Amino acid sequence: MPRCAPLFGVETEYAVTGLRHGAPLEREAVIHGMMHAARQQLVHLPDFCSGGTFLENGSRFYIDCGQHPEMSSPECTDPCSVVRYVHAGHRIISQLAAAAAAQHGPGTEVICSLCNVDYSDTQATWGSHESYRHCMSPAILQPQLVPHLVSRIIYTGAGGFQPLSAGLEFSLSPRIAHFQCIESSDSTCRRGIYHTKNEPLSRDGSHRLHIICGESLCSQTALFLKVGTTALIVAMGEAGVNPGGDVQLESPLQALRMFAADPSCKKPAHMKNWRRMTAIEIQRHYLRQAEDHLHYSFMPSWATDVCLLWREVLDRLAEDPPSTNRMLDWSLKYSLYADQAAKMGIPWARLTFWNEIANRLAIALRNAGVSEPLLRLEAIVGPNSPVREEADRLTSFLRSKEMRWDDLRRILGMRARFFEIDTRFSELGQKGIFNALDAAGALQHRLDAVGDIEIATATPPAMGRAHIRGEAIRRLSAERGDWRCDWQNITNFADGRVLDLSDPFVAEEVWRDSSVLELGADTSRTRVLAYIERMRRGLS
Amino acid sequence: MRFLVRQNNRHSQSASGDSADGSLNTIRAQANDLLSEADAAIRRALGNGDSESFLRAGRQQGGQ
Repeated sequence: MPRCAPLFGVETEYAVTGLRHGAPLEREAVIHGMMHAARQQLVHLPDFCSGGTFLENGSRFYIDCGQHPEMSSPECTDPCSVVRYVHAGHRIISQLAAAAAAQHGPGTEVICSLCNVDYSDTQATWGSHESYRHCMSPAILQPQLVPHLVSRIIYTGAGGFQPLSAGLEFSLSPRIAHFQCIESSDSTCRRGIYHTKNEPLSRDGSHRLHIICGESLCSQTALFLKVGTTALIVAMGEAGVNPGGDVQLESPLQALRMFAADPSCKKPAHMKNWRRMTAIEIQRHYLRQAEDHLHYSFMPSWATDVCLLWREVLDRLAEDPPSTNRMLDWSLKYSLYADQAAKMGIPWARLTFWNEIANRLAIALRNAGVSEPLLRLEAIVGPNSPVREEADRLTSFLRSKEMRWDDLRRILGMRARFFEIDTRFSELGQKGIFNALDAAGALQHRLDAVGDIEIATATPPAMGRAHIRGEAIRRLSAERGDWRCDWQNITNFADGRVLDLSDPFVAEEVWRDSSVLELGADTSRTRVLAYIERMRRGLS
Repeated sequence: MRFLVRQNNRHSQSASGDSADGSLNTIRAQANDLLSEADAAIRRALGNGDSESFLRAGRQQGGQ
């Protein structure tokens, strides 16, 4: 079995809201302002066709479908570097948001956040995609990874509220509400836990595992574990260890939803071998496999560090989940939101009960073809209710439990406030709730080995093609030429020269001259493009 | 552990070497601190704005 040197990256999609004196700004103007600021302020080369840019730290900044800014980290060789460059990306985005706000004058704020889901009924979601280089058949990888992707949410979940619920349902991983199947090649509609896209972005015969079911995280610990643990499982799978063999889930999607709804982390899922296992037990299985193979040559040098932190977090979750509330996103949110609920007089402990009532009412309304918002509870459960039968049935049920509609009314009344808190939690900049807590010294999520994030905003990783790309961008952006940059090359359309980056571990700049190609192309531009295409396919 | 450095953590030094009671007190103090800092951070972040309007202003198509 061929083994690949590890290489990873993370794409982060940012939600953006522009406000001027509290009134919403046109999104297009805000996004345009950010891109304009990027071209003015950042050392960059333009990309090939999306109107985006590649930056001197080797990353890519562009506007993705759905009109949101996106930052793709440079290719990194260890999980700490991923954390460093993802956070460097946040700083760059934050700077661009401030510049875009300044363009619109005083009283303007451009809020960028890592909120993962939209709570305004659009069913929109923002992704955080991971890429892992590997050299095995993607079909072999799927069963090794799916139980991990389902159970890792106990430390990789961003936390928040189930965006499709009529009530106020806390979820360890709110984005999973938008996943409908186990496997899919789609990333915008019918999303699957395992994404089958295999676009290598290299020509060395390796593959690129593309994971789309993760979430953007504020915690360095959570992000480090997300990438580190997944990379170790990929390495073990590649070496033929079969790390997921004994933990195949009967229904991965059902297990994912159950784990996401269980902050105690104690509910077991049905396995294919008739056993039942909690998410912690499944994770411990993977951890044991990793620890047992630490001395093998296929395990990366940083594997021990990942295993130590992995074990510490699992131990804490097993013994006392709230003890992780200063290091994991979802756990911190759970503590904060329970406290806020108590302050608002909301019966947090009874939310599950009330959520069921709210969802039953919402279904009855939908079945009756009524688009009445649940917020108008008086009208829905009153004498002129459009769903009188269900409302009466639920009213009687509540009476039998000596309960009243008041609690649900209070919950629904504060729902929007909780959603705003959740959106503002991951807001970039000092005003963001997570960042404010971090600055106040209340958290315990930082990893010393992440290093200097500020330096990473303008310096590429030390190894691999990201290093060559970043260094070349810094130099070429000051030189004359018709430059275009891509993951696999930098091209000067003015003279037909192409810097070949199709080898992910290229160690020096190698420029090729596309004019050597006799294709009968009638312009230099089409000849250069044809040359790049042949280069991608390994023909030149 | 080499990796996990409790930077910015007011209580981490005092926690080491504490008795069991002292540790418990430290954990309680941390929990209280966290919640009171969070309460202040939430108030600063949200101000007195209307959350419904904020969510409407943020309506978008989303991504992948």
